[in-house]
Parts: sequence; C-alpha cells; structure tokens
Amino acid sequence: MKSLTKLTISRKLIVLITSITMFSTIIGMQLVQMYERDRIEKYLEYENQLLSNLIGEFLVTTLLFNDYEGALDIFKKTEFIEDLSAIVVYDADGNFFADYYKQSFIPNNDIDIESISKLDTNFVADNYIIVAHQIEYNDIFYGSLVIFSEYNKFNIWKDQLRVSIFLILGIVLIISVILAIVLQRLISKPITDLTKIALKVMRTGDFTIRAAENRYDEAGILNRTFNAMLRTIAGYYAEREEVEQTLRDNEMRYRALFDYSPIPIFLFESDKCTMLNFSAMQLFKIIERDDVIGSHYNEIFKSDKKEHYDYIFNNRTVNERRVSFDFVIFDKFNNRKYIELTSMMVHTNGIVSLIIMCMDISEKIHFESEILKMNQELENRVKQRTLELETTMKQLNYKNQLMNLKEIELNEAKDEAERANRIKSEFIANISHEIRTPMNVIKGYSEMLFKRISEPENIKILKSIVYSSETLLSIINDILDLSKIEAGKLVISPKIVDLVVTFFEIQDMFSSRCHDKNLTLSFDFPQDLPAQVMIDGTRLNQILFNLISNSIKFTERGYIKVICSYEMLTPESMKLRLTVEDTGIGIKPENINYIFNAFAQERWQSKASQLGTGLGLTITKRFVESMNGEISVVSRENEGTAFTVVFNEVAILPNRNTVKFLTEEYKPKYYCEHSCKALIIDDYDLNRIVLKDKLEEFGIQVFEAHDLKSSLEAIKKNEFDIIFIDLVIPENDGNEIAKQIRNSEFFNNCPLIVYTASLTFSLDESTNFDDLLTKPIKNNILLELIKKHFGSKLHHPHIEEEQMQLEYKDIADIDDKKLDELIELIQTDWATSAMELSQSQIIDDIRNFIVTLKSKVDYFSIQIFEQYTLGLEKAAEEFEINRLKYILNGMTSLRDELVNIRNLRGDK
Amino acid sequence: MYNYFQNIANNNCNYLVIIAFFLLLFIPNHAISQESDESTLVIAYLERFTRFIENQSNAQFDDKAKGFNLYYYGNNTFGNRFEEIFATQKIKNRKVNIRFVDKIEELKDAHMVFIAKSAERDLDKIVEYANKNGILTTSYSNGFAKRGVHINLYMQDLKLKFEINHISAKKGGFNISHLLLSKARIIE
Repeated sequence: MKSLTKLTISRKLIVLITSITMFSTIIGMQLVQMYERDRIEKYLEYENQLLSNLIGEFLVTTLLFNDYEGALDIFKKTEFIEDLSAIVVYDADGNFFADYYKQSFIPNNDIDIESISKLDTNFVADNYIIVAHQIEYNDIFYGSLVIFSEYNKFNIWKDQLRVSIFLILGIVLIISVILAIVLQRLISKPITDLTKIALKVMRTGDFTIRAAENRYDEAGILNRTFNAMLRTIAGYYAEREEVEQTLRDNEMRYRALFDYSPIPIFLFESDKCTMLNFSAMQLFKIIERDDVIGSHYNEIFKSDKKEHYDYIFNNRTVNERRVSFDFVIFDKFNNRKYIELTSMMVHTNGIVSLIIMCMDISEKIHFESEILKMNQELENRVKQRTLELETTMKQLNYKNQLMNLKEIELNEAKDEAERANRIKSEFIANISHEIRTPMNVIKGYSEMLFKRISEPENIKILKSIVYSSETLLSIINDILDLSKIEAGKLVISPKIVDLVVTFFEIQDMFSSRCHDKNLTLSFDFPQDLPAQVMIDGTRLNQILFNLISNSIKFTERGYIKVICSYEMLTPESMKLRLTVEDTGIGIKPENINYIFNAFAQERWQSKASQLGTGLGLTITKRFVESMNGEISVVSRENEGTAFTVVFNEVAILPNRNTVKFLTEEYKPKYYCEHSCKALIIDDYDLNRIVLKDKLEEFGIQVFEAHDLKSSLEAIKKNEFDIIFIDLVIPENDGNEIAKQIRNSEFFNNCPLIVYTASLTFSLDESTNFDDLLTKPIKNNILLELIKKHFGSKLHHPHIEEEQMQLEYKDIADIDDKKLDELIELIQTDWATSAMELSQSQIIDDIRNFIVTLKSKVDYFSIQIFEQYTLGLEKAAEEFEINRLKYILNGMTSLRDELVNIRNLRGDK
Repeated sequence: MYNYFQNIANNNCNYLVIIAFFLLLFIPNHAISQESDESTLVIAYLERFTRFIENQSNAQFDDKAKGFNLYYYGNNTFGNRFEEIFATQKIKNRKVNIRFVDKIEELKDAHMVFIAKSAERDLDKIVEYANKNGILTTSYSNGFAKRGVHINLYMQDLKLKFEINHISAKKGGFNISHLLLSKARIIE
C-alpha cells in the first residue's frame, strides 16, 4: 500500500482501473463456472437416467421371457456408448439376471450393487456416475438395473473451462490496461496541466496566468478554484506590498519623529543603548551617536541619586510608565542638569525595550522658584483687592435693594395700568352703548326730517348728519366689540356648524351687494370637506362677513373668492384654512404691517370715500386668535388681496364626515297653500324643468306651456296665481304672449313675470309684465318675488312661531296715540327700511336699525314691539343671517298685528 | 413415448448414440429360452402376449369390466392345464373364462382363441372370423402364422419361440408393442 502512494496519479489510475476490471472479471468467471458446473452435473445426471430408462425398457421382454441372450445382445449394443462402463441387471425377485463390464471398468468392492439396485437413485462415486433404475412396464415390475458411467466428461469440461477462464482473463487484462492508459489521461491531464501552470506561476511570480476554465467537471472546478486562489494571492500580495509601503512610510515618519523630537529619547535593550535622538545628543552634549550606542545606562545617566536609577530602570513591567522628578545628571562636560525622566517598557517581537524620555527641567526649577516669589506677591495683592471688592459689594447690595423696591413699584404701576385699561374698556363699552342710543335717535329723527324738509341745502346738511351718525354708530359698534374683547368678555362657544350651509348663507347675504357692484362672489371648497364641525358659528360668520365686506369695499371690478381647504390632524379633528381673495386695490407694502391695528384703515386707505371704522380687521384678528387660529394677509397693490384664516384644530362630528352638497338642495323653509298654481311658458324644456323644480319646492302646483296656443289652453282650464313667461320664444316672443294672455277672457289678472337672462331688459310701460326674474334663478330672489306676489298664501313655520310669541299680554295698557304713531312709523319708514335691509344684508346697517328701534322701545312701551326688537338684536348678535332676514321681513306682520290690536281696542 | 424420444433428440447430439442403440433393438432375436414344462410355458406365454397387445377395433378386448374369454378351438391336447393355470392367473388383470369350442360360431364372445393343430381344416375361416371380430388368434403349430394366425409358438433349439403375422394382426385391429415384436419372428 505504501508503495502505491509513491506512484503517480496516472499510474495509480491504471492500477485501479485494471484491478477493478480484473476483479470484476474473476468474480464474473467464478459465477459462470459455478453456474456451468451445476448445469453440467444436472445434464450428466439427466443423461444417465435417460440411458438407464431406455436400457431398462428394452430389458422388459428379456426379463419377461427370461431371455439371457437377449439381455447380452442389448448389452452388446451399448458398447459404443463411451461413458457407459458397466450394467448389472436383477430380475423381479431381486436375483442376478445379467451383467456387462467394459475392460476399463474398475470395480469398487465397497459399493454394494445389489443393495443399490433396490433403490431408484443416482450418485457419483469413484469417478463414476452410478444410476439405479427399477424396470417397470404398464405398472408391472420386471426387475432392476444399475449402470456405471464414467465421470471424465465432467473433468474434461472443467479443464476446458479453466483454460477458457485464463484466456479470457488474459485478454481482459490487456484490454483493461490499454483502457486504463487511455482513460487515466482524462483525469490526470488536467492535473498535469494545472501543475505546469502552478510551476510557471511559481517560477515567474506572474499571478496573472490562468488555468483553462472551459471544463465543467471537478477539474474545471479545481482550475477555477486555482484561478480564484491566484487572484486572492495577487490581491494579498498587492495589499501586502501596500502595507509594507505604509510600514516603510510610517517607519520613516516615526523615525523622523523620533530623531527630530524636541524631547530627548533613549532606547535601551538589555540595558544597552540601541538608539537615541538628536535632542538626547544635544542634552547630553554627545557628538557621535556611536559614542553612546551600546553603552550601559549607568554610563549615560550619571547621578548622585542612585535610587532614582532603580526606580526608572529596574524591576520594570511591560507598558508601565514611570516618571521620576528631581533627577540630577551630569553631561559630557560634567555640567549639572535637572531632568525629569519618563520610562516605558515595551515588548515587541519578543524583545523587551526600555524607552527613556528626558525633560530638561533645569529652567523649570529655576522658574518655579521665581513663581513662588511672584505668588507670594500676588497673594498680597489679592488680599488688598479683596478688601476693596468687599466694600464695592456692599455698595452694590444697597443699590440692588433700591432696584427691587423700584421693580415692586413698577409692577404695581403695571397692574394699575392694566386695571385702568380694563376700566377704560368697560367705560368705552358702557359709554359707547350710551352714545349709541342718542345717536340712533339723532339718526332716526334726521331720517324723519327728510320727509319734512324740501330745501336742497337743508337736505344736503341733513344727509351729512345722517351719514356722520351712521359712521359714528358703526365706529361705536366696532368699539363695543373691541372693548368686549379687551375686557375679556368675549366668550367662544363652539356649536355644531354646517360649513357648506354657512358658505351658502354668506353667499346669499352678499349676492345683492356683489350684484350691485358687478362683482362675482364664489366659494371654492373640496367635495370631501367634513360637513359638520364644532366651531363658534357666530364668530365664524363675523370673520367671513368682515373679510368679505372688506373685499367688496375695496374691490371695484373682478371677483371675490372664498377658498376653503383642510388638513386632517386626527380622524376627529382637522386644520381648517379659509382664504378670502379679491381683485381689489390691494395694500401698499409699507402699510401691510398695520392693517390689523385698530383704526389703521386710514393709514392704508387711499380713497377717502371708503367707509369703515378701521376696527373690522382688528376685531377679526382678535376673533381668530380667540378661536385658536391665525390670520395672515398677502397683497399686491392694484392687483388684489388675500386674507387667510387658519383654525389650527377644529373638531369634526363623527357621525357625518362628508357633505353631499351637490345632491343636497337649498330648500327654502317657506311653503305656499296647496291651491297655489303657477304656469311656466317656455319653449326650452330644461328651463321649464329648473323653474318648475324650484317652484314645487314651495308647494306650488306647476303647469307648463311651450307656446302661445298651449298657454291660452292652460289659462282656459286653470286659474293661476302666477305666470312665468320666457322673454324669448321663437314664434311669439314673451311680451306678445303676455299681451295675448292679458286680452284673454279667461285671464284672472294674476301677476305675469318675465324671466330672462338679458341684463339689458327692464320693465317699462311698453312691456306687459308685472315683474322681472333674471336667469340664472337665485333662490333668494325667487323667494322674494313669491313673497311679494303670493302675500298671505305664503307661510313660514319659523316666522309663524315667532309671531305666535308676539302675544300681547295686556293691550289695555297701550297708549293709543303711541300705537298709532308706531303703526305710522312702521308704515312710512321702518317697513321699507326692514325690507331693504333684508335684501342688502349689510350687518352694520342692520345694527344701526336695531339701535334705532331700541331707542323707541321705552318710548312706545308696547310689548310685541319690544319682543320684536329684542329678537332682531339677538339674531344680529348671533349673526343668524336667515333669522335676521325673516324677522326683518316680519316687520309688516308686526304692523298688521298692531293694526289688529288697534282694531280690537276700537271694538272694545 | 414420442415425447420421450423427442426430448432425447433435442437435448444433445449424444442422444444420437442412444437412438442408434434403440434402433438396434428392433433387430429380432429368435432365441427364446426353453421351458421345462412345455405346456405350462405355452399357456404362460399366452398371458404374456396380451401384456403387449391392444385392440382398437374391439373394445371388449380391453374392457376391464368384463372377464377375459379365452377359447380353445379344436382337440384339447393340454388336458386341464388351461383351467389350472387361469384359475389364479388373470389376463389384463381380468378373470379368465376358458371355453373349448369346435365351431366357428362359438367364437362369438371370445377375446383370444388358441387354435389346436386339429383345427387346421377350419383355420382360414377361423382366421377370417377372428380378424372380422377382433379376436386374437394363437397357435402352437408350424405354418399357422403364415396362414394368418396372429401369434404362433414354435420350438427351436429346445427353446420356445414365437412368430407374429403382423399384417394379419393389423387386419384384426391389433396393435402389438415393439417390445414384443423385437422378440418375435415376423411373418410377412
């Protein structure tokens, strides 16, 4: 086995392949031999049994007829059967009958043929196959015979087989050797090639040489691994080269650092100096390094304090740093020097080195003694200065106490000022309220005077008085709000507010004023805006009202746009942003910082004609801040202004997250009687549908006609309360249809309303209409028109509820004269003013009107008038626009009630 | 038997040797050992012949359910040897009925008939009748075989031997084993 390991791989492979082949062949041959042996044995057995059967059969008649010669004759005929050596026959009684022996037959006395003949068997003995056979014919036993056949045939076969096996083995050996030589090249060649490449790499040191990688067997893997190894080694060498270069560089650096270090350094190995730098040479006045190299430290460091040497040089441990002060040495010229030694023992590559760093402290010791002297002097001076400082501190303490007293006085003064400010605010609030009452009286009476004077000069004076009083009232109202805020009486009360409804209401409120100034007012809000929020709706209305009023005031053309956006903070809250943008005159950059200051309007208002107290934005800012919000402004002069209000956290009602405003309808709260009928005459179906839809919301039964003929037929069949006629109808225009209707015998004189998109059309004597409705149809305009023409047929539950409250407790207490005066005042002045205010919805004017009414409450002392006034004031304070409108519109109802009271009193 | 030789032929060429041996056995051997008691031997031979003979045309010849009818035709020269011997000896494992007749009509139920020398006059008719009815004919008279008797015994060199008229036997519907034929003298 050992000798095998010395062989080359190729030879090992040859030996291996040949051995395996030979081994397999020998095993195979052995198996074949075993099989063949068994087969031949069975064959011989069968052959001899067959022979004995045949001979036995022919011996039947011989035995039957006791024909001995016949038996011999049969035996004679078997002579040519080579293997048959002997035959012995016994008759049926077991007696010997006949036998036959060849000369070559060698009898074996040990074999009892007679006994064997009684059996039916075969076996091998003494190179003979012995077969015993019982002779029977037709189930009759005639006798038995025993035959002896030679076994040579089997032995010959065995010899032949042995020769064949050896021949085959020889051939297989030759073939296997040839095959092994050929096959081993498949394995050994890549290894040989790789070995050659490895030798080449080793010889040349060239790591870029590569073995072939185009094989996919283990040799290929070996080659690829070898190549990877070469790459790694190449990388390693490159890295090592780099490291070595770095080491060389570092060594140079550290060498330079060592050599040129200002600190004198010695290096000792085994107590002998192996290195020292220039500073050390300088310190010890050494001219040549070699003079010291190899010297014992005792020879270099000469001192009269021996114990210092032991501390520095002896009993050292690795990496321990020791420092010795007050070390005295003598240089080459025996000059005495004080040095400080620092020693460090290091262990590198098995060598223990001692590094000694020296510090010349001769000067230091000298200076220390000097410093000691100076310290003494300094201490003396400090003592002196401390005394002076203590004196100064005492003075400062005294001044500080005085300052504290002043601060207390200042705080008291500040509190006093704040209290005074509050008193001022309260005073202003009170005084403003007191001023407002007489001012309303002045205004009221001035307005009354309009009807009593006719001189243009007086009218002009009166107008100035009315204007000034209105301005003054407006200022007072704003001052009241502001003083309320400053007095800390402003209470923020969040309630459930529907933002979109609020936007619609405000839009309605300003639509008339915008229309008058030919401005567009629009609200832009996201469709998924959370609908219901918790916010102080009154203040929100006031904020939007002030900002939009402000925009309308300073905008002559273009638009005013309210942009609403939001940002979800949590699922329950959001940041709400409202921007009021206009295309007005804008604000000068230098004025933009003052716009939120009280009475600042004059500073940045260029037009004297612009009305206002200058408190609107101040109040708005205060409201916004009170509601946890911020207000900011962006403006460009002559281009426009944008005010942005941000409410930092507004709670959202969870039960209704989004408003389906597009599908929601702005439903009026009014309804007509069931019998009310209206006719729409329009050739355009869509227009009819729109108007019909709106009218049906009032509970009006609507009929449609598309031309003159259908219109007349409709009139003939029904009695209408109102007829709407489109101005432009192809065959007959609206005016002509109106004329024909009027001429119809079935016409019941109901109002004929023209509705048109034309802005130039106006009613005059040439037209046959009673009223005008412009397209697109606005709900409030339509409502007013219906209210105007339907009169008592129009009902409003809310107003009726209000009216129900206007019950007169005791009409007996009412002064008749004052009742008549009140009815007269309502009829001549207030009813018209209320209607105008209901339409204009200018909150300042409404407030002024309320002040006027309130100034008369005490005078008239009529309860239902007082209730009406208080209801109106409450609605104004809460900024309930719709409610304000309803109550203002209810002025005529108040008048009717008062007339009823008068009539009742008259009846009494 | 055919399969037996077939196997021999198929197995190996060495069987040719055995076949040759087999063919040699067909060569007749006329030597028959002499019996001490001639009459007894003749009667015993009659039984031994039936072991190697079958009759396909006469079912009764091999009908094991019935007795075997052995008739003696002509003058009895054997005394009561027939009765004595066949009182215990069976033919084809059947009881043997011995009857002595002298008329051809009486051979009606016979399976085998021994024709005495005295019946030489009726021999042709007996042979014809026997062949017609499948009756095995035997005799112990020279020249009877040539005249159509199936098996005729004769004495040669003091040994009892027999001859077979194979053609006549075939006429009578008898199949005679080659073993018996190999021992007999064949009369053509």
